[in-house]
Amino acid sequence: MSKDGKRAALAYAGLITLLAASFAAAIALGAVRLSPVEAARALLSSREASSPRVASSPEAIIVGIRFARACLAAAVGASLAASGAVFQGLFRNPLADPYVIGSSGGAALGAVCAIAFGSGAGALGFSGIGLAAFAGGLGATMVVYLVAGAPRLRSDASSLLLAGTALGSLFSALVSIVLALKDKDLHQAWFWLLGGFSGRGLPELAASAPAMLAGFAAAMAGSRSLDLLSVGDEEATSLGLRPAATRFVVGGFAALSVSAAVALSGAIGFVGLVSPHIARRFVGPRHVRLIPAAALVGASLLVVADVVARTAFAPVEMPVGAMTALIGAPFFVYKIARRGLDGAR
Amino acid sequence: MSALLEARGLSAGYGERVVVAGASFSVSAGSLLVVLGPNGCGKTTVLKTCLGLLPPLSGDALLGGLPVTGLRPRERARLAAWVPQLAESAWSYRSRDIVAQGRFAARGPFMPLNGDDEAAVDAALDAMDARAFADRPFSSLSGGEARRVMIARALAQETPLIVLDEPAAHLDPGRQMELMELLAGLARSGKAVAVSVHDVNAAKRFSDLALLVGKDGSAAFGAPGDVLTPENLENAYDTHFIHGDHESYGPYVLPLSRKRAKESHDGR
Repeated sequence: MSKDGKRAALAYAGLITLLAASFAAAIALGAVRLSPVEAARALLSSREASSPRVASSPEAIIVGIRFARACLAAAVGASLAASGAVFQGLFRNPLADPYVIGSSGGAALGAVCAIAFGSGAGALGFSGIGLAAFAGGLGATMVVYLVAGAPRLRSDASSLLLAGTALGSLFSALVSIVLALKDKDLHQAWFWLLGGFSGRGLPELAASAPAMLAGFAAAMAGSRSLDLLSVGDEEATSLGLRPAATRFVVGGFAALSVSAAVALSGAIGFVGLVSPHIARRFVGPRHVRLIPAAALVGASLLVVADVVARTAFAPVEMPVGAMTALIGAPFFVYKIARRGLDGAR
Repeated sequence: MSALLEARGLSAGYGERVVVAGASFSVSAGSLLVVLGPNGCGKTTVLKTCLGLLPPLSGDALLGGLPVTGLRPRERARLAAWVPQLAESAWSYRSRDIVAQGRFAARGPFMPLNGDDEAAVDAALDAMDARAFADRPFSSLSGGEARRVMIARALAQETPLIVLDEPAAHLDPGRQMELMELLAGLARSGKAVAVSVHDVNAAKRFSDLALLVGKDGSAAFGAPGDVLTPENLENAYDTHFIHGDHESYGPYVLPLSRKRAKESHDGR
């Protein structure tokens, strides 16, 4: 194995350990504190106690709930971080995040409309609100693509970014208007907009998982195309790539994954922006390594952020989106101040 | 020998603005074509149009005998490699990663690079004497080193045709000679090479064919001795040249002074 390969393997081992540690913390910490031994025993007994006749211990129930919630946080974090890496690559822009082409604004609008005007019963395992958010996120992405693909705009990177930013603002304005009209729903909508995992479980995760996995698979399949885009559209074309088609397909699948994540947990910020930068320091910029590493970083970050959200001001639960920024921002600023955004320079 | 790159009455430019009008030229395997002309005359534009990176305004551009507008990017990238003048990459990819980008067209977007690809990358790095900085970030290289990596990427593409846009810019005289010798060597080894340059003497000495683009959009094509004549050069560059003949170098030119605006007007 090359020196470079050994370094990457070491980095992956570290990131997997980090994720395991964050899961351990998520299971052990909370209103009822469990020692690692108790937690492990409870986790095992909850497996054995799956038959309804055997009563589960209270510990087993707690562990089951916390484990499910950590799985949710990990899946959403991984999806947002991998998509963030994709969008940063597609737009050659370190400031791009998973919501850059409007999916969070659209999802928020969908969810808030469902909260304010009432939603259907839900389908495909999604709640009514989740389904509306998913549809809103995907719909917004399509509108952005249509606008940016208009003949005079040629679907290049900056036209997509501009269309995404402009339509994102438009959706935010519509969200404000709906909330102003239906202010009795303000609290529920506010909590949804900030993002969180309370009240969601493994069934909701199962509903979102296919879209998330499809996004991840498309990102990995497009990893070498993303590498080529780093040198600019024209040069990438000379090397055999179709930049606009790549942005359309890979970006579309990433938006699908993001919409599923947002439907699950609300629009959680910062994870998708910062995780790719952290991952790039460990495994370098090649997307075939960057995307899985970013997913591991994002999963760990969000699991930890959710533990903090649950426990820091217990019994009041903080919005997890605020916690990701609270943990991530100082770390990120410290890293930039020390070594610059691109690490190796 | 059929031409690998051919322009037939090709007009190149941007939208309404025609930069080069009615250019006809070609280059075949084993030949080195130099493209000369003053700054802003459209050397880059005409080369990009030939490679399908810009749409032709009129006329035909052919790669490997096929109209370039009918080829998909990956087909074009297996026929011709492009070395742009300015190279920069987002993120800090290693130089080796940049060279490996040249394998995209051969391997396709989805298959991982295999041993053949690694061998092609290594061979290209060796040919450009770039092994020493292969593991350094591309963004940390000097201008000359970055240029070598870019040419190595084009070599890794293993195309019959290589097109380079002013690769000698910012190189010291020694590196310029080394580059021209390398390009002439590539042509001798059977590749077709098209390169835009500013060094008239090197162009004459190393090339088999020359294209002189004028500031009025005209393009003269032929053997270097027929195209790069004293009168043509004076007209193209609006500059007086001294002509000499050195016993070991042969005929050479030296720029003497810029023609005054009025004088150059009279000259037309």
